[in-house]
This record gives sequence, structure tokens and C-alpha cells, in this order.
Amino acid sequence: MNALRMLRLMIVDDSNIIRRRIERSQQIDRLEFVGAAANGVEAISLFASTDPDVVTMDLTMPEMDGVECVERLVALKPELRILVVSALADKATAVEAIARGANGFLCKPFTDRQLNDALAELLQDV
Amino acid sequence: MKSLLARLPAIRGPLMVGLALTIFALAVLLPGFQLAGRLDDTTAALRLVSEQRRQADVIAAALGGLRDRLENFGYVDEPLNEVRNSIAELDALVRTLRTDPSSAGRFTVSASRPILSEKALTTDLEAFESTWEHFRQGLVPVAAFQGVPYADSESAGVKLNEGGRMLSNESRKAIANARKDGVRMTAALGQLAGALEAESARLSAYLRFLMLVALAGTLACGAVLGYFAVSRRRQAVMLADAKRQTEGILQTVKEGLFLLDPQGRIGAAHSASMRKLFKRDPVAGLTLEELLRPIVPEKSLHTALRFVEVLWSERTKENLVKSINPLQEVEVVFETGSGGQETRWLEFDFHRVREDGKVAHLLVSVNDVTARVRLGRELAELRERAQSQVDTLLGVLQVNPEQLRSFLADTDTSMRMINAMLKDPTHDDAGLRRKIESIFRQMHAIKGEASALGLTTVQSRAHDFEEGLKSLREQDVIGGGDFLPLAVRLDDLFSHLESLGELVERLAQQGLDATTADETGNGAVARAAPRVTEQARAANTLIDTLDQLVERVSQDRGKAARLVTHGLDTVPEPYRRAVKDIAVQALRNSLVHGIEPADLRQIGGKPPTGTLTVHFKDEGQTGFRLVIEDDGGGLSLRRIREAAVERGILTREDAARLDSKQLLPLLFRAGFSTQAEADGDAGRGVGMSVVAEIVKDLNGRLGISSGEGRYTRLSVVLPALGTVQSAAVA
Repeated sequence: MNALRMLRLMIVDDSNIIRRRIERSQQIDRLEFVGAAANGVEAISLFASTDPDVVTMDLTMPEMDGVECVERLVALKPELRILVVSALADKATAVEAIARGANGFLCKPFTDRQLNDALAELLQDV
Repeated sequence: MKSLLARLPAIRGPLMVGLALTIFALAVLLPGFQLAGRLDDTTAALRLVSEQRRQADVIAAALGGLRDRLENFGYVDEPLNEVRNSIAELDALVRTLRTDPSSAGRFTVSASRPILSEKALTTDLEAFESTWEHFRQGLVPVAAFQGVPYADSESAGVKLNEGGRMLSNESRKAIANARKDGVRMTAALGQLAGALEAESARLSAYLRFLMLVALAGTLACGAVLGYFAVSRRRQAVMLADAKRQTEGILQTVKEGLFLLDPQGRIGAAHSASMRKLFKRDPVAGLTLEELLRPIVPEKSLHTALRFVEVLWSERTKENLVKSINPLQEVEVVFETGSGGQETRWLEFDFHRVREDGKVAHLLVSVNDVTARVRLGRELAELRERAQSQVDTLLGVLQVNPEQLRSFLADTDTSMRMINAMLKDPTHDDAGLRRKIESIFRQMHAIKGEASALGLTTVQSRAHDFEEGLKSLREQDVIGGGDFLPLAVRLDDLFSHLESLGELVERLAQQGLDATTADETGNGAVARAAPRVTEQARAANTLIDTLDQLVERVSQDRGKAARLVTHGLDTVPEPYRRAVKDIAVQALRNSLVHGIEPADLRQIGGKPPTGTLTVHFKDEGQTGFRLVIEDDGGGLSLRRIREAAVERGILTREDAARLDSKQLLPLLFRAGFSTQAEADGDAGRGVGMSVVAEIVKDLNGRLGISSGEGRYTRLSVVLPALGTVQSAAVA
């Protein structure tokens, strides 16, 4: 148990507002923001350069959607922790993202507290 | 082993007892076995020693016999053999006692142990050996004799030969020794026998002790086993009790409760309500898929099964996926026996059950939430209805009751006309299209006034109706049946207007009517003050309506405008409705198209607030003149030309050739608008055609003039009252 190890956070969301919101609101001591991507394709290339440990992932995005992006990232780094952050319009897609390897789901819109609780739960055993 | 014990706590105690018993038995029985062997050995040795105790006497007798025979020249082989036998037997005794008993072919536990290993015994044995050795030395010469001891000659007769003499001497010596050594040896043997007896007694006592220990141990083990038996019995009772309680819970609980195993099958222990919830029996052994397939749609089923799959994966954070549970509130449909269907809502909840840290089962609870869902929907419906009533009420409260009554009365007439038109059995396409235009104008007038009064609920319904008409108008072929949906919408508007009327009546009864509302501070209401003439009241109502229209539309459009009226108190009763309708449409057009936004006005050197003027004048024999004017941007001939070309009314060449006198009348054509998108206030190209229609119906005249960048003026002349045929028709 290495409680002091910093974890790198990458935010993937096509909304600038949500990206900034997550970056500003997250207050997990061990998390260090390393970059944000606006779609799946950007996320894959940003992943290569920043090697994050934790990812928040939107589902509906242009270029490459969240489900496919989750699958690719997990293939690249199986121990990656992924929190899907999306509206609850389509549960089937959300379930699919989890089935492809995401670890949890946070429903938009969310409060700061909900975000931090979800991140804490996500990193509980890291 | 450890994990085995951990898994089977019930048998751990007895197993430990069995193990202890085995170790104890080995610890007691092995020495016991050894002891028994030694006791056996000792007894055998004692027997041997006892047997040989008379050997000294036998030797003494044999020696005596030998002497007698030698004296009488008898046969000596017999006593000699007895001596030899005795020697052999005593030697054998020594050998036996000295040697390893196993060599004698007898099984013993400790192979290397001589029979007599005890120190006391060894001493006694050595004492016996030394006496025997001494005794033996005297006997050996005698026993060694071979041959015949006599010489037989004719001369001397029978006498001892040399060997005989020697034998006689040796036997005499031996007899002398035997007296002493025989006694000593016998004593030594007695001693040895005594020691052996003592040893035997000691071993017996030891063995008895061991037997007692074994007995005690067995009793103790028996007691422990007895204790375990009792405690197991108690456990069994408790287990049975717990099982009964579980059974009781599962039989009684309203929730469906069951466990899913990793193969996705429902376990045998499930709540009895499962049968009721899913209307099938048995439930145990089914997969979740088999349980759900008959009652939920394929897509939901697929998502649900995928979700359950995900719960087995350790990657998934149980608490972070609860919100995407697709079975959180799932609609299920059961076929009822009579061919009907029953719809219910079920709520599924999943919990992981871990054993040894691994997910072993999923605990699933199912609730019938039909009542909750239905109540929720009813509440939402009620809330929506209440909200719309509140909206209506608020809308009504803002309206002067006089205005509202007049609006409702006018609208009622229009509605009846529309209804009559809808029922009119016209079948040819041109007739139907004319019908659409007429209905359109009527409805547009209603919408206009509703908008002026801020009755948004009426306005939006009228707008919807217009949308329906619009799509009908765009159809290539129109059939009589196409009007049916419109009748439904009309009915909706009818009942809405009716409820509005009831509301007004109720408000009047509650004392919120104009006559008592002065103190409320509501300006619109206060203006309709009591004790004024009917004529003045009607004029005030008209002015209020127009004021409100201007205020609302200018706010909506982000423009600033004020309304100036002249002579509206002189409008004769038969023309009131017409004047109102014309003014509403014309003012609306002016606000939407004419008056520019404040910043543009300032650039053009005009005051930021636009001015709208409505002027009514009785001109005697000529009739009445109504002039509605704005100081806005005027009519753009360019845009009228463009719109005319776009709408296919004119070719581009014709449009370019026509002058303003020829172009402006286009504005009064039905469906002509320079606005691309229709909204609540303008753009359908109906407003001005409504004006033209009203004027035509009253046999009046209509003119429009405009100064680009300065004004637009609509001028209507209505005939003097004697010449009006049907003022009510508008």
C-alpha cells in the first residue's frame, strides 16, 4: 500500500465546461491533472504522452465515442481506472462501457461532492 | 488441511479428538506391547531357570551312579550321558539367557535387547555363570571320557584299565566338587529365579499401570466425544432453528429474494413471493434470462443481462454502477389467461455476496413498485394540469375582465364560424383551399387578440391549429377527411375557452371582478373603472387591449414603442369588433416589421422609442376613417419584390418592373409574408389579408402608403352606418 504515490488524471469530454468543472472540482489529494481530451482520438494520443492512471470518460463524443475509447485504453493499460461521466439517457451504452472495462459510472449533472465521492470509491483499492 | 478445517468447523473438534486418541493409543499401547514382550521373555526365562534348578542334583546322582558302576564294572555310558546332557542343558541355559531372544525366532519389539538386561538380573546371571563355570570345569574331564573303562584279561579278570582309573579319579573329584559347587549353583539359580520373579512382578505392575492409564485415557476421550456429540446436537438444533427462521422470512417477505450463482441460475432458497411476482413456479434453477425473457422487451433484457455480467467482474465498482442498473424500474408485461395483458413495474437490486473475498453469488431483491410508479405518474400529470391551470389563471388575472369577456364573446363567434366551415361539405380542391384560407384568417384573428391579452395558453393552441392548417395547405391533394385532426384541435380549443369562461365567472363570484378590484392596484383592472358609460367602457377595453399588445410585442421583440390613440371612444358599436381586429393586426405588423430597434433608430436620427398612432374619425356622410401609422422604417419594396418572386407570385422581371402602387397591394394577399419563419406574432402572411378581408366584408376601402425610412400608414374607410349590411360578420 503506497498511499503517497501520485496518480495522473486525464479528463475526456467534448464539453469544455465539463472538462474544466471536473478539473477544478476534484479534490482527491493523490490526483494530479495531466490533460484533457475532447474526443476518443485525442484521448488515445494524449494517453500515449501522459500515461494517466485515472480517466474520466464521456460517452457521446465526435470522432471516437466513449465506449470504443474505453476498450482501447483498457487494452493499452489494463490497470487503468476509468470513471464514465455521462448523462443517463441511454443506460445500455453506459452498461456497455462498463462491460468493456470501465470501472464505474457518474451521472451528469453531478455535484462536487458526488464527483469526489465517485473518484474516492474508484481509487479505494489503488 | 488448515483450509479444510476452516471449511468444516463442525467436525474440527471430533477430528482433533480422534487425532489425540490415536497419539495417546500409540503412546500407551506401544510401550504396553513392548512390556508384554518383556514380560513374556522374563516368564520364559523364569521357566527355564526353574527347570534347571534340579540339574545339580541330577549331576550329583549321575556322578554317584557312575562311581557305583565303576566299582561294579557296570555299564557307564548311561550316567556319563546324563552328565553330558546336564552340561549341555546348563550351557544352553546360559546361552539362552545371554543371547538375543530374536535369535530364538521369537518376535520382539526391540530386536537388539537381550532377555536379561536389567542390571540386578545381569549380576545374578553372572553369579550363576561363574558357579556353573566352576562346577563345569570339574565335570568336563568326566564327560570327555570315551571308550570302555575296563580291561578284561584271563589272568586278572575284569579290572579298571588306565582310562577307567582316570575316570574313577575324576569322578571322585567331581563328586567332591559337586557337593560344594552344586549347592552353590543351585543357590545361584534360586537367586536368579527370584530376581526373575521380581522382574516379572515389576513388569506386570507396570503393565497394569499402563492399562489403567489407557483406561483413563479412553474414558477421557469418551467424555470429550460425548461433549462433542452433545454440542453438535445443540448446534444441529440451533441450525434447524435458524433454518426455520430463514424459511419463515423467505415465506413471509414481500420482496422477491434470490441468489444467482456464477452460471446465472437462481438458487433453491428464494422467497415465496417470487412465484407471485413472476407468476411462475418453480423459479429455482431458472436462469435470470429465462425468468425475464417472457416479460421484458428484448432490448431491455439484453442490457439487463449485460449489466449482471458486469457485476461479476472485479473491475466493476459495485457502488459506482447502481445508477445504471437497467432493471431499477422495469416495465413487465404478463399475459393473462383471458388473452389480455397486465403491466406491472418491478424494481431489481443487486448485491454481491463474497466468500473468501471472491464474489460467490449475487443477491437479488425484487420489489413490485407498480403502485409507486402509477402514483408518480398521476402526480406528474396532476402537477402538469395544475401548472397549466395556474398559468391560465395567472394569464386571466392579468387581463381586464371586461376585455376578457369581450374576447371570449368574439372568439366564440369566430369558433362557431370555423366549426361551420369545417362541416361545410365542399369537395373540390379549390373550394377546400378557400376554406383553409378563411379558417386561417379567423384563427389568426383569435391568436392575435389572445396574444394582445397575454393569454398564452389560448395563443399556443391557436398557433398549433394554424400549424395544422399550414401543413394541410402544403399538401398537393387535399381530401375532406384531412380536416378531421383539425376538428379535434378545435375541440380542444373550444373546451379550453369554455374553462376560461368558467374561470372568469368564478373569479367574478369571488369578487375579483373589475368592480371590486380597484384596491388591488392592478392598473389594467383599475382603468376599467365603474360608473362610466357603456361607450366609454368599450373604448377603454379596446385601448387596454391595444396597449397591452404593444407593450407585450415590443418587449418580446426588444423594441421600445408607445401607442397614441385618438377618437376610439367614438367607434360605433357595430364597428367595434372590426376596428379592434384591424388595429391588432396592423399594430402587430408595425411592431414586427416597421419599428426598428432603438439603436438603429438613433443612427437614423429618430427618438429611440417608436410611436404608433391609431386615429379614428367620424367623417359624416363619407363614413368613418381609421388610420394606423408607425414612424418605423417603412415598407421595403426590395423585400416585397423578393418575397413575391420567392413565393412564385411574380416573375423576377415583373417584380422589377412594378412600382410601389402596384406592389403594395400584394401585402393584402393571403399567405404573403416577408418573414421567413412564422411565430406567434407574425410571418404567416395572414395579418394583412385578415385586414383586407374584414374591410371587404364591410364594403370599406383600404389603402397603404409608406415613406422608406420614415413611416408606414394604413388607411381604412368604413361606410356610414346606414349603408352597412352585416356588421357582425367579420
